[in-house]
Amino acid sequence: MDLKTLFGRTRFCKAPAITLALSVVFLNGCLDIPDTPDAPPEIEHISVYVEQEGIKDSSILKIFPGDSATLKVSVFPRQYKKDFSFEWKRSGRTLGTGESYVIAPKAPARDIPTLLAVYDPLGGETTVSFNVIANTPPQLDSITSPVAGDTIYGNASMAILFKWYASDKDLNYGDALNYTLVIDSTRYELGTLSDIRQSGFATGEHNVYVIVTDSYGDCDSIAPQKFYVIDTLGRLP
Amino acid sequence: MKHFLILAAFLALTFLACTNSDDALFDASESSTISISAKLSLEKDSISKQGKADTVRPSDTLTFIADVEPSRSIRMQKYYWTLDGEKWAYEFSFRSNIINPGHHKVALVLVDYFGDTLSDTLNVWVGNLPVLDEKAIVPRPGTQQIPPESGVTFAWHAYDPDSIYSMRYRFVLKDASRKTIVDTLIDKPNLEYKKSLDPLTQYSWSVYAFNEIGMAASTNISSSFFTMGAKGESAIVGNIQTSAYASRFSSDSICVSLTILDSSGKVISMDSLAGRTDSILRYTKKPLPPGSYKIAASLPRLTDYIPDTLDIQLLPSEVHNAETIYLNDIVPPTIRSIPLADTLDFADTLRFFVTDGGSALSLDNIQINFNGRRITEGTSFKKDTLTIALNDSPESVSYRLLTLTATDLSGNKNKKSFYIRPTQDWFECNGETTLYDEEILEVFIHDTNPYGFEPDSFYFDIFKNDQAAVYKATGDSHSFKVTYGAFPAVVNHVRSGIRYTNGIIKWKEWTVSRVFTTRSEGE
Repeated sequence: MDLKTLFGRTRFCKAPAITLALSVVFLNGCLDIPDTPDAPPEIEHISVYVEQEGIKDSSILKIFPGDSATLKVSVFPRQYKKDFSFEWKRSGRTLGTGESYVIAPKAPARDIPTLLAVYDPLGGETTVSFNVIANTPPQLDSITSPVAGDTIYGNASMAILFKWYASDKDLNYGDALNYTLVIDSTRYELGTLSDIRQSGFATGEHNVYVIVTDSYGDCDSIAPQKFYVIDTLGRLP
Repeated sequence: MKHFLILAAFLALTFLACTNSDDALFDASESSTISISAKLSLEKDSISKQGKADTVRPSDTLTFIADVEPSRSIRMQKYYWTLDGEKWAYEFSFRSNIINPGHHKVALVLVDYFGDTLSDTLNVWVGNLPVLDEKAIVPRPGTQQIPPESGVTFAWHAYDPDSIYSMRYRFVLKDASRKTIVDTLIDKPNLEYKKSLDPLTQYSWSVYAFNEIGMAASTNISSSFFTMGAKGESAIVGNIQTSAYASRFSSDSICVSLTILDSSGKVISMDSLAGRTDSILRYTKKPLPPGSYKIAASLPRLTDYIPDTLDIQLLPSEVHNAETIYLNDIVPPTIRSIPLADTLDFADTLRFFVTDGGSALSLDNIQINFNGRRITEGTSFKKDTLTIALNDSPESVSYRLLTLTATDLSGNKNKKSFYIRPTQDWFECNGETTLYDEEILEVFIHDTNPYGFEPDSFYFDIFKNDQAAVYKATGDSHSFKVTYGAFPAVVNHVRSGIRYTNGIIKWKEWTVSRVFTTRSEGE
């Protein structure tokens, strides 16, 4: 029996299936019409998740490429997992077998599987496709304007330049950086802008910091830094 | 049992023999096609606005309506509505709201008598209004000293509270003359304008936020900023508005005189700004060195408007957005009758001067009421002269009231009333008379009132003794003779009158002009 054609209601050995069906008949026989005796049990899902530094990620399978990570398979109902065998593959090439696969630190893309083949004891097969994202978090390098401790002479209407630099090793691989500028507790969602001019700063101390976030939700920031405004253009009474 | 079956068969044959089997045959001409149609309507709209799809908020109540042809009373097995495939309602028409944001399919399902299933599907997109933060925007409203040569970046914050719809933004950038530089639709909450801008200029920008199903945020961004000039250079920008700005009448062309003086009173510039009363006039003066200035604005040709001045202290590198200068007209129009009197004799046509020093008036600005009734027909207004044709009988027994109300473009109102005196001849009597020496004048009075009033007494006030002679009326006329000596003056004013039994008294004045052919001594 080809398991692939029955993905979602995988057929197992007839004996346990019949036993299970009979159990249902005995237990529920007085309550309802029983299922067909040879109806196979249902496997609700087979999925792959990644574990790195003790953190499990089953959503976007994101790993930090500098550390090793382990791909693992999850079968539900869990009790049938032991009946299966697994092969971790990429581009038709088998990279490993078993319920888990270890991705080495800084592993090249060719050594990261994209397909899990699952076999039942009767030779039935199904596959699970997935994509591991090796993402390097962005890094906020510095705020270059105003620099920490700067004193700016002007007034509250004068535009002050805010400029910063951030980096991300994945920018050449489709990643993008978004910035949130926080000045005196006011958040400005700036998208991809990395400099703006803003006004409204009265004489006194102010603080500013920037949060950089990449396309995969990794982010970085630096400690708030202070700048000072002195109103030298105030109107005469 | 066998006998019973035979009996039953016999009876059946007997009954069926009497029936016309043709009646049981299907006749296509007697059949009709069944069709159904589902429609929806927002409760707040008219029920006549029905459609197959709509975009609504979770709090909106929708009316779902089922149309069945040929009628709802056809024989059918069942009907019901489904929401996203789940059975939902069992009425033909019902009201409900859909609270879960997203795209929903609402289907009307009808199973007819023969078991055929008909269905019609509606599409409903449910979502809450997107939110646009008006406060956290870049650059902040009124920001100064944006370098003009390096472009400018704009950023704002908006989101879909349901987190299911993507956002769209309409961004508009306008220059100082309100000319649109950018008008674009974008899908991210920021924009980088990289072209150069004019120095010392105010630019305005606005953002309107929508979600992907076309729902607009309840707020929008409307802001402005100023570009920087050369080092130390400043500028003044401002608006001038007249009190006729929001006039309910038409607008006028105006020419504002704008003078800028420095702190020593020296005139820096003198300009004329042409515009209309229903628009805001924008002025810019640049570049100027920092310092104190006075701006004076007036409407020289419109004397009702009060000139206004504004003192400004201009800072270095500042584009000063001056307060709006308001030119106010507080003088109402004037109304005068052509004979300059408040009591006017009834005439077919009456004329008045209606003038205003703040605006050109038209008939739209003047309301005419005659005897409590507004009149518009038979009136004209040309070169300050209002002409009113009174379409009324002159034979009124009493005075009538004519009220003119003139309102200028600034809303100043003048209301003036005139009494219209009846001119009907109630009686005949002597008119203007020339009397020579030795002549005898026959003074007469003859009642001709058209109302059938009965004369009670006749009055003659001819002897200048402040007491009229009274004659009890015995008919509708009376007369007597008077010698020339009763009229000693060159012009003698005489009054004749009638008192009617109902108390009405009517008088008529006339004069006796004397011609002295011989003068006695001592005169």
